[in-house]
Amino acid sequence: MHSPVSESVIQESLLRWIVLLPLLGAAINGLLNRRLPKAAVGAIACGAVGLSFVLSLTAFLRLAALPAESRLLVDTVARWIGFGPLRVDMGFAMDPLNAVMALIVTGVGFLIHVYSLGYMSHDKGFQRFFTYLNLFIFAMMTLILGENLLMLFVGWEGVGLCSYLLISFWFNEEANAIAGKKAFVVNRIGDFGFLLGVFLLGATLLPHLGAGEGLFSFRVMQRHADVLAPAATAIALLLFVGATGKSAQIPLYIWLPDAMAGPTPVSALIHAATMVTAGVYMICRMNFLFVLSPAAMHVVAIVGAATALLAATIAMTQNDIKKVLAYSTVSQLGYMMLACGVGAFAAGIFHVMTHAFFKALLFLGSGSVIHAMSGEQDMRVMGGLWKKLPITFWTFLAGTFAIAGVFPLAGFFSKDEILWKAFSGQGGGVGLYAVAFLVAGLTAFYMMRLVVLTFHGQNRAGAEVRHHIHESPLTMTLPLVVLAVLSVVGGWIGWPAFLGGSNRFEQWLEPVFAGGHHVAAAVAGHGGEALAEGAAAAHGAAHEGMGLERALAGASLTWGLLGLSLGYLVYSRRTKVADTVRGIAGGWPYRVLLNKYYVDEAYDGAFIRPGFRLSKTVLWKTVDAGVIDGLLVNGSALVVAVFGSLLRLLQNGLVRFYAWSFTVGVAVFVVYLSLKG
Amino acid sequence: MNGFLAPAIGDQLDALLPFLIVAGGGLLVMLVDALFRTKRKDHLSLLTLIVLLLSVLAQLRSGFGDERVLLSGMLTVTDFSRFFDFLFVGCAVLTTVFAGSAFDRGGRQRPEFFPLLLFAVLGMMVLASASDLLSVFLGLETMSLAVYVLAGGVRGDVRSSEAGFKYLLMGSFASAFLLMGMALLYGFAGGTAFSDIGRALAAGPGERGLAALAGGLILVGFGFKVAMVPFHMWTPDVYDGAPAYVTGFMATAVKAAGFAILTRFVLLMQPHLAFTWYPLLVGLAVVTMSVGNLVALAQNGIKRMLAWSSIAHAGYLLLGVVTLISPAHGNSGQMMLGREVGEAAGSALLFYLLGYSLMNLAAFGVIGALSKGGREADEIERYAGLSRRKPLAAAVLAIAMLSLAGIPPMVGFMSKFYLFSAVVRAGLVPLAIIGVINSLLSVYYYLRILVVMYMKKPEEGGYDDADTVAVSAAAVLAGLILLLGVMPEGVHRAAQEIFRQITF
Repeated sequence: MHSPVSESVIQESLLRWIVLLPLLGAAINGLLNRRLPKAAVGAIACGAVGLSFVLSLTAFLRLAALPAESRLLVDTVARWIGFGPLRVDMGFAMDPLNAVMALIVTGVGFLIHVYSLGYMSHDKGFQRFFTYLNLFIFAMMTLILGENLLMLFVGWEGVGLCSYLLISFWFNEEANAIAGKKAFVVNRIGDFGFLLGVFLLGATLLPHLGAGEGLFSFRVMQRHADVLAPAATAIALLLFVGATGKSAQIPLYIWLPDAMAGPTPVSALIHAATMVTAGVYMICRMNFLFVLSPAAMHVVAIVGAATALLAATIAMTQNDIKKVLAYSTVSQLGYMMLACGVGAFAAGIFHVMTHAFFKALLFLGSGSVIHAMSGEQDMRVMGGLWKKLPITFWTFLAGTFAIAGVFPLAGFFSKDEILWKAFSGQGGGVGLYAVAFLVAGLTAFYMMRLVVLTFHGQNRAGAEVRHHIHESPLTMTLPLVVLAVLSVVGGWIGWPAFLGGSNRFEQWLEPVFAGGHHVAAAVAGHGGEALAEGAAAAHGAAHEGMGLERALAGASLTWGLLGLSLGYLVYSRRTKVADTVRGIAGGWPYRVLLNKYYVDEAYDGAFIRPGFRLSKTVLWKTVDAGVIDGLLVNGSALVVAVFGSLLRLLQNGLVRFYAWSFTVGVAVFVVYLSLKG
Repeated sequence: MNGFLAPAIGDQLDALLPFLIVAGGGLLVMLVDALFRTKRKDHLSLLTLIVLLLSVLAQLRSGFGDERVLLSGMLTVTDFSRFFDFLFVGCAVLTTVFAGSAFDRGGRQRPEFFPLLLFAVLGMMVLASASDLLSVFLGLETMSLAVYVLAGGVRGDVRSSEAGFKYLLMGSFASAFLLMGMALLYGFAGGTAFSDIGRALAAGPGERGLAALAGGLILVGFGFKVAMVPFHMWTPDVYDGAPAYVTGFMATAVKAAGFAILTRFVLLMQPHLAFTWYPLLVGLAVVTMSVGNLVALAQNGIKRMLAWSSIAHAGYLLLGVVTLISPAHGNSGQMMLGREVGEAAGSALLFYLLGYSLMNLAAFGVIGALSKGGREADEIERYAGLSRRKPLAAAVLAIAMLSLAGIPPMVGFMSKFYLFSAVVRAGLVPLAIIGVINSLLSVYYYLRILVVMYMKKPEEGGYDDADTVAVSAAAVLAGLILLLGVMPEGVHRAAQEIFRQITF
C-alpha cells in the first residue's frame, strides 16, 4: 500500500512564469494599442506562448525525474485569503495530471497561435485578437496549474470571458454577438451550480481543517476526503453542473455549436482543444471527491454517453463544415465524460490529449478550406478541393482517420480505452458500451461524409470563388503538418497492454488517481486488505479480460472502417446501398437531426419565450411602465428637477473631493487610534 | 426611566423652562407667521426677540452654581451649559436684528427663518447640556438641520441653495461617522449615558482601544461642526454662499456649540485616554490654525476670508482643548491634571469663544448691513474708501478686524493672551510659539481690510449704503469688544468659576 499523497513539497517558482508569460504578452499587445507592427504583435504573442510551452516542458521533465510517489511541484506566490481559519493561497502546483494538460494547452496553443498569424493576417483586429488569445492561454493555465479550487475557478471564469470575447470577435455581425451572449448565459447557469458546489464543499470542509491548511487546496481536500463523504453526492453533482456548461454536455451543450461564429483558430483552440475540456479536467482533478459518490459517477457516465450519441447523430446531417466539427466536439467531450463517469480518469485525459491533436487539426484544416473558399462554410457548395489544397487534404484525412479510430492513429488508442472501460469500469456495462460503440461508427460516418463533400468530386462553387481557391500560406500549413504527425503518433504513448505495450500514459497518471480510489475504498468501509484483494482481483480480471478486450477492439475497428466506407459510398457515388440508406434515413429522421432535435426551439419555447413574456407583460408593462415609470421616474423627475438645478451647482467634483479628503482624514484618525489605543 | 413621568417633571420644570420656552416659541412664531401673513415680517422678529428674552429670564430665575440632572440624565444643566446658553441666545438676538434689517433691504429669506433660528438655538442648548450620547445626537441634529435650511433658505439665490445643500451633504457624512463612533462607544460602555461611559473607562484598561477608536470617530463629527482640518472643506463654500447674517450665526453660535460638546466630551474621556488623544489633538490644532491662516491670505472675498479665519480660530481654540488635557502636569502613569492649568485653559477657552463671537458677529453684521437687495457686500476691493462714505460702519469693521488679529486693546488680544498663557503654563511652549507665529501671520489679511477702507479712495461701484439698525447693533458689539478688551477680568473670573465646578 502506498501513501495517497506525498507531503514532500518541492518549491518550483518556474510554474508562475508558465502562467504569467502569456499575461505579459497580452499586456504588451493590449496596452500598446495599435502602435505595434503586425510582425511584432505576432512575435510577442507566439513567443509568450512558445516560451510558456518550453517552461512547461522543463517543469514536466523535472517532474518526470522525481520518483513516481513524490511527483509534485508547488509554487506558492502569496497568501490570498487569510481570515481566521479560512486560508487560501495564491499559488500553482504541478503534478502528472496537470503537467499533461499544461503541455497540451501550451503546445497546441502555440501551434494555433502560429496558424493565426496567417489566418488573421488581413483582419483589422489583428492585435486585439492576439491579445485575447494570449489572455485566454493565461486564464487556461491558471485553471490548470491553480493550486486550489478557487484558483481553478478564477481561471474557469477567465477562459469563459475570453471565450465570449472571441466568439463575438467580429461583433459587427449581430449573429456573432448573439452567439457570444448565448455562450455567456448558458455558462452562467453552469457556473451557478459550480459555485454552489464550491460553497458547499468549503462549508463541509472548513470545520475539519488543521492549522495552516489551505481550505480549497487540492492536496488538503484530498487528505480530508473522508469528511467530504456525507456531502459528496451533492457537491459532485453541483460541480458537474458547472462541467456540463463548460464542457458542453446535456443539457447545456447548446452554446458550443453557435460558438463557431468566432474565428476558426478560436474554434480550434478554445472550443475544441482546450477550454471545453476544462470540465473534464476539473472532474479528474476532483476525482477523490467523485469516486466517493457512485451515484454522481453514474450520472456523469450517463450524461456523457447520451451527449456523445445525441451530438453524433446531429453531426451526420449538418451542412456547415464547422457545425459538423462542433457537434463532433460535443460528442467527443461526451466520450471523455463517460470515461470519467466509469472511473477511467486516465482514459478521459488520454482522450483529451489525442482529441486536442486531431480536433485542432480538423478545425484548422476546415479553416484552411474556408480561407480558400473565400469564407464559404457550406459543404454543399464545396467539393473537389483535394487537388487544389493538397496539404490541407492529406492532413485533414489523417485527422479524420484519427477521430474515426483507425489503427494505429491516436484516436484508436484513446477511444478504444474508453470503450473498454465503459464496458469493464466501475458502473460500466453493456449498455454504456453499446452507446459508445454506436457513436464510434457514427463518428466515422459523418467524418467521411464531411471529407467527401468537401474534397471529393467536382467543385460546386461559383466561378468567382473557384478562381480564388489556393493553398494556405506556410504559417497555416506548418501547424497542420505538425498536428497531423501528432494525430498519427500521439496515441502511441498509451499503447495498451493487450497489444503488447504497457500504456505508459496511464502509468504516468496513476499516482494522481490511485489516491482517490484508495480514499473511496477506505470510506466505503473496506479495509486495506479488502482493497488489496480487490486490486488483485481486478488485476487477475484484467489478464483474463485481455482476450475480450482484444476482440472488442477488433470489433470497434471494423465498425469504424464500416462507418467510413458507408460514408464514402453514400456521398460519393450512386449505388444501390446508398440509395437504400438515403431512402430510409431521408425522411423525418433526417429533418429531426438537421434541426438538431429542435432543442434550441424547445428551449426557446420553454424558457426564453416565457421569460420574455414575463419580462414584457409583468416586468415591463406592470412593474416598469406602471410602478417605475409612473411612480418613481415621473415622481422623481419632479424631485430631480428641483434638486438637479441645485446639484448642478455643487461643482460636483468639489463635493466629491470634500468627501474624499474627509474620508482620508477619518482614515488617518482610525489608523492612528487603532495603533495607539 | 421614571424621570420621564409627570411628577418628576415638576421638580425639573424651572431648569427645563429655558428649553421649553425656546421650543414653544419656535412653534409659536411659525403659527403666527401662518396666521398673519403680512409683507413685512417685523412682528416675527419682534416675537423671536421676546422668546429669546424670556428664555434668558427663565434661565436667570432657575439660578446658578448648581448641577441639575434633567430627564433621567439626558441633560445635565451646569454653569458651563448656562454660559453657553447665554452665548447662543446672545448670538441669536443679534442674528435676529441683522436678519430683520436684511429683510427690510430686500433680502429674500423664507419666513421660516425665525422659527428655524429658534430651533437651532434649542438644539445648541440641548447639545451644551447633554449628558447622554442620545441627547448629544439629538441636539446636534436639531441644530444642524435648522442651520442647513438657514444657510440654503434664500429664495431664488443659487449660491445660498448650493451652500445649504453642500452643508447638508457633508453634514450627513459627518453624522454617519459620529453615529458609528457612538455605536462603538455604546458597545464599549454598555450604556449611552456619560456616567456609564465614565464608569466603563474607569473600570480598567480592557477594551480601551475600542473606546479610543469610538471617541476618535465622535471627534470627527464634532470636528466637522467646528471646522477642524481636515473636515473643514465645506466651510468656505458655505460661509460664502449663505447670507451674511446666517454666516455670522454659524461662525459664532454653531462653532461655540461644537466646542461646548467637544470640550465636554474630551473632559469625559481624558482621564483615561489623554495619552492616546493628546498627540492627535496637538497635530490637529497646529494644522488647523496654519491651514486656515495660510489660505486666508489669498482670499479676495471678505466672507471667504472670514471663513478661513474662522478655521484658523478653530485651531487656536483646539489649542485650548489640548491644554485642558495636556499630560504635562500629571504623574506619568496616572492622568492627574493640574487643576490650575485646567482652570486656566478652560476659562481661556470660554473667554475666547465669547470674544470671538463678539468680533465675528460685528464683522458679519457690518457686511450684512452693506449688502442690499440680496447681493452680498463681499468684494474686498469695493470696500475702498468706506471710511469716508460710511464712517461708523467702517469703524466697527475696523475694530472687529483688529480684534480678530489680536491687537490690544481689543478683546481678541485678551482672548489670545489668556489662551497662550494657559498653554505656556502647561509647559507647551513650542505650541504657544506656533500659535503666536500664526496670529502674527493673520495680521496681514485682517489689516488689508483696514488699508482698503481707510487708505484707498472711494471708487465707482463701491459699497456706499449701510443699514442703520444693523450698523448700530454692530456698533454695540464693537463697544463690547473694546470694553472686554480693557476690562476682561470680571468675565474671565466668571469663566474660571465655571471651570472650578468641573471635576478634573
